[in-house]
Amino acid sequence: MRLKKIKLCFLFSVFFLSGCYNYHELSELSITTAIGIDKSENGYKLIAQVMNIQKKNSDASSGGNTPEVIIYENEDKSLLNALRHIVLQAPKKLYPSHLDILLISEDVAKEGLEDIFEFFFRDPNVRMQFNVLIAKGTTSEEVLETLTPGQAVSSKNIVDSQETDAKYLGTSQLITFEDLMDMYLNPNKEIIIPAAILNTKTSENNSIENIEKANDNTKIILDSTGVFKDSKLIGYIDNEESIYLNYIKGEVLGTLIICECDKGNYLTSEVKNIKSTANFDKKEKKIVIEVSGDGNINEMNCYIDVEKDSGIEKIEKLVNDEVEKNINKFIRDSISKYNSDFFSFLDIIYKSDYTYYKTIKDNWYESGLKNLKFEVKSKIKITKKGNVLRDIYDK
Amino acid sequence: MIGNVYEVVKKLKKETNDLKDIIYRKKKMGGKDVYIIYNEPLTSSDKISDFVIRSLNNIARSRSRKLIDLMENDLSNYKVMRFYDYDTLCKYLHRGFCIIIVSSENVGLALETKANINRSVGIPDSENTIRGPKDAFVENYQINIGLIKKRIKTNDLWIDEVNIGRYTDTQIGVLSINGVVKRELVDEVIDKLKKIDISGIINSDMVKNLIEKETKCLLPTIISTERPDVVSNALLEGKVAIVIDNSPYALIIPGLFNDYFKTPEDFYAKNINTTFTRILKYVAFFIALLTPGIYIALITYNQEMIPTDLLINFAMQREGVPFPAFFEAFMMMISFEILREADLRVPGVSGNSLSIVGALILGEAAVNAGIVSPIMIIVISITAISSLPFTEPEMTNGIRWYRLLFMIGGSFLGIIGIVVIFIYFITKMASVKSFGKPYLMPFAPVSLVGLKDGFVQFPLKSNKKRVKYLSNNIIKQGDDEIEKN
Amino acid sequence: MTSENKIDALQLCSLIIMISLSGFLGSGFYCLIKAALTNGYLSIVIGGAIAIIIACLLLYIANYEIELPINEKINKLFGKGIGVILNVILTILVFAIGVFFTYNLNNFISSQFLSETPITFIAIVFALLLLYVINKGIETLSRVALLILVLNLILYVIAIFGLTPTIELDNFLPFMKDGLSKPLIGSLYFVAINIMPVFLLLIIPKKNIVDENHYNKFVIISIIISIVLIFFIFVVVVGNLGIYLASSYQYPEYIVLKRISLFNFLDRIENMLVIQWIFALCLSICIVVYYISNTIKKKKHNKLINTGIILALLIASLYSFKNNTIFNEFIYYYFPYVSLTIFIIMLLCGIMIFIKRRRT
Repeated sequence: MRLKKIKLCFLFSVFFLSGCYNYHELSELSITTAIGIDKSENGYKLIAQVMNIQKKNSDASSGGNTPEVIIYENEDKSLLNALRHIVLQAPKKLYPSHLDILLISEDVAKEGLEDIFEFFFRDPNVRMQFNVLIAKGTTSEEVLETLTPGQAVSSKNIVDSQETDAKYLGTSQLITFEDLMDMYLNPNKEIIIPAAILNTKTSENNSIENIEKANDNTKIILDSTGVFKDSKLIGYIDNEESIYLNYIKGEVLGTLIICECDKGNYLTSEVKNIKSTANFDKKEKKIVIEVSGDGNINEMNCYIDVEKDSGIEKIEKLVNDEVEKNINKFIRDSISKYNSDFFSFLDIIYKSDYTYYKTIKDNWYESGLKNLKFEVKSKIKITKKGNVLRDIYDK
Repeated sequence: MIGNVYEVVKKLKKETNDLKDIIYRKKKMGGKDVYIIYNEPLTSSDKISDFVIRSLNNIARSRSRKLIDLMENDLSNYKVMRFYDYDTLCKYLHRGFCIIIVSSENVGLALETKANINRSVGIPDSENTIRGPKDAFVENYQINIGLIKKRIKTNDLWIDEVNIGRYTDTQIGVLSINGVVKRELVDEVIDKLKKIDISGIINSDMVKNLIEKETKCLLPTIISTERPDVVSNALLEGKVAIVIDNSPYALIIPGLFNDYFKTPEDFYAKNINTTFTRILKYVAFFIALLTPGIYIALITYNQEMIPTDLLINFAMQREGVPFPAFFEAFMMMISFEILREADLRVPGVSGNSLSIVGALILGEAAVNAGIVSPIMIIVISITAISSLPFTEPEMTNGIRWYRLLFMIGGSFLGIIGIVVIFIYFITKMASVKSFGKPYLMPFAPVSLVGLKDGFVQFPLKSNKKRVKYLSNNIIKQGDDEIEKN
Repeated sequence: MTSENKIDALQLCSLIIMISLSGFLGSGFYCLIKAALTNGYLSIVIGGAIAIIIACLLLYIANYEIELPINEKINKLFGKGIGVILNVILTILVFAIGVFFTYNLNNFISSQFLSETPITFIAIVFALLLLYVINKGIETLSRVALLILVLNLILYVIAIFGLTPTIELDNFLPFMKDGLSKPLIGSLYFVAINIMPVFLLLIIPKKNIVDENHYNKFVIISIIISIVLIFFIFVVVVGNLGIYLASSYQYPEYIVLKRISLFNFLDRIENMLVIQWIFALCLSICIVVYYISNTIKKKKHNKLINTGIILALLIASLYSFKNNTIFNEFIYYYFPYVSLTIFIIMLLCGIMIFIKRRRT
């Protein structure tokens, strides 16, 4: 019986002493939704966008639009030091598990991303499913400070915009931090990160008046994709070309194709269920890119008789030619301009033909990439014609 | 020496302090003194007047036979017993028998003349069924046994009788069906009953507490019920039933974990509907056990498990609350338990207003005053509602303690604390044995036959066998070879 | 206590599956990836074939003298002197396996869940819990194992179901770029870390198992099931994360669960799904303690021996490895020798049984 009492006392004391270190009340945490990294004289400048909990405590009728988010910033040589020192300004500890986006400004990206990776990679609290973006032509501080009219929290605005875009337009990819790490650790791939710009119409973009007028405000716009070489930013490819990059990576779900059917008249087709793959043909040693999908005729400004098979075939040929021409042009231009393998062709060669990879990998950038042969095959089918039976130009 | 009737009467009067309720009727028959002694509140005066005293007048006298034998032969009472000593006389007297002693004879007669001071067989008030028989046990031993015997009409229904209680001398019957039950179980139960030495047994639950093993498991291991159809079903499965005088609840041994999730109506309704309600009960059990603990663990340790929007809502709600989460949960649990207890004890007239006040206290007012957060109210309400659909109140009480343990675990180590306490809880339940049968019977030592009535219920036609742990006579339906043990 | 230790065949199966799964968290995966890179699944398949052969060997040993546990069988086969030495060696090796499991558990919980709590407290809490479970006896332990197996399977199915849509088969190419040697080495690692500890269950004599006729069939089926389970885990982890990410984390099985997004709204359930590993590890440690306490058995004081063993495991696991890297390197370079020694001893037993049977 005595032994039992000793055991019970020991048990209770262990329970009471243990574990309280990890105890965080909700009022001790400030939920960080976005982090931005800028360059400054000391080193890095860290900007954290934090949810403002106080807002809804007051009644809805007490007027005014207090901002939903608060911005904290700090500069230091090391990122973790900067993050920790934010506690001197904020009343609560920053809680990074619910991060939505990470914004990296251009200057930091041009110098190399390795320092940033270390910081987020090692922390066990951080879930790496947040998106990464580059702030193009501006600093991330300005982007994060913009209040957006569509949604109260601007980081969610950006994420939702990216997701909708990926489904319907295909210009930007959703790069999560894990994908970024995978691209970085893989010696055969180069990094690409989508970028966002600020479209300033007025000079004040972080005030309340930003939301009060319907059109006269600053918007955060997704624009172009940043391409890297050896994890340093070397340039951007614009929206159109991003779509073709996504074709090669196989990430487009649905997009629009515009081709010219007559002089000055355009035909628009919305293509869905796109499956595009890039494979390496071992016999002929060339990259073959195949695109297939179901197309719809959405807008047709010239006369083609769509009731006949020949008309449909003509439209298909137009669409497929457009795709092939554009992708070919894009690849050639990018290789000559940037000389960086952000299409991950080397990775494809590594995975399909290991022996050829061994011969080619040593001077890939000097000769291999420039002499690479590739071929685009596009097999998009036009399956629907829309609501209307015939062409309105046929009178 | 009951032949000396005057001594007997004097001793009896002295021991009972000359109680006026014990009537001593003296008659002279054939030159001998005959005393008729009976206990007036317990006996029915009509029966004594009609069947005993009048018959005594009409007994033919003959010289060749003893008076006692004549009486035993000719008395028109339906039950006559002989006794030989003083202690048995007292026992029979207190059970409502009518005692006849004749001077200088060493045998006495006891005649059954019990009065009917019971209530009539009524509707069960704590175990309701929609369709199913609606008779319930009453406080009389014979009537209860009769209700069971009405349903099981066979020679194999054996009843072993034990009397316990120094001052109450309560009659206890152990029922079992010979050929179905395992004899060791019956012997063990009777052994345990005979070892009880207590001043009085007032209700069946006292017997339950005395023969339950000291396992320190807070969940019940013996079923108590007030419906004779439940008892009959259990007897047919191979279990043992205990009926106790003066108690409208009968006990069924052994009570396994799965039995507390069954309702009396299980075999009367379609099996799919019963499956639904049973799965619902299991889900309610785990919700009632785990919800406050998991809530505390999520809010204070593992906030990354909550979706972002919900987390922002929680943070806003908890912004003004001064207490830590565990303390808040604990306070709400206590006030809910007080409310529940008050609901049971308050007489019906003033009950309604009190419950309204209670709901108000726990609800809007506390939230508006900033003492608790609205989400805590929802958590506690879900917990409270989920702990109600059990027929056995011991189950609800047992869950209460384990819920507290989960809350403590969750507030010290978060989700890991919940996992630790969960392993402890499962181990504790798996180690309990109810009279030698493992507590988690259809699940832990897997018995395919038992699983047919475990989580889901198979239709009655396919439920053809009995569980091996309970009975050697396995076949219930269809052509069979019955092996009696 | 002794006559009541009856275990069902199904409960034995669940114990086998738990022991083989628990070695895979963390270090087992690391060894497999380091040895075989992307072709780990091949090494699992090859290792599976080897595992069945080893299982037959273990069954052969188990079927001889069905009333004795393994330590007494060794005493009987080799005589008192060599038998004692072999038993001592086996006990030390089993202690090493126990330290491996305990360190894995403590490190996992401390680094992923409760990063600010000192590791001592977590270790003490788990040690107390496992002491309680062990003191209840092997019967209770096997019932708990059966219930937990059902839970584990449900969580496992949810995890696989949530991760399969996002597998990229690209991550498994190039196929066998270095030939068959690397998968073979990987299969040896797989057998050493996951299958060899199953011999711990030989401590339960075959007499104590109800349903003796199905014993052989059930054991082989459960080893096949655990191989299939590990195979799918490997496929899902490497298919989702890719080989570079999977080799940078200490516990990739946990990291990959962060990617699950079921039905578009169940987003953050990795903490729930990872509980299956914690359960498996706890049960395996209990079996290790049971083995050691049955080998050192004196007449009574069983509970004191259990306390002593748990304390020894606790202290050894806290102070033997300084950090993760040393732990991983130790497992990669030295643990196969532990399993190899056990295998040699089992082989010797098998040969002695064969000789004895030949003689009579």
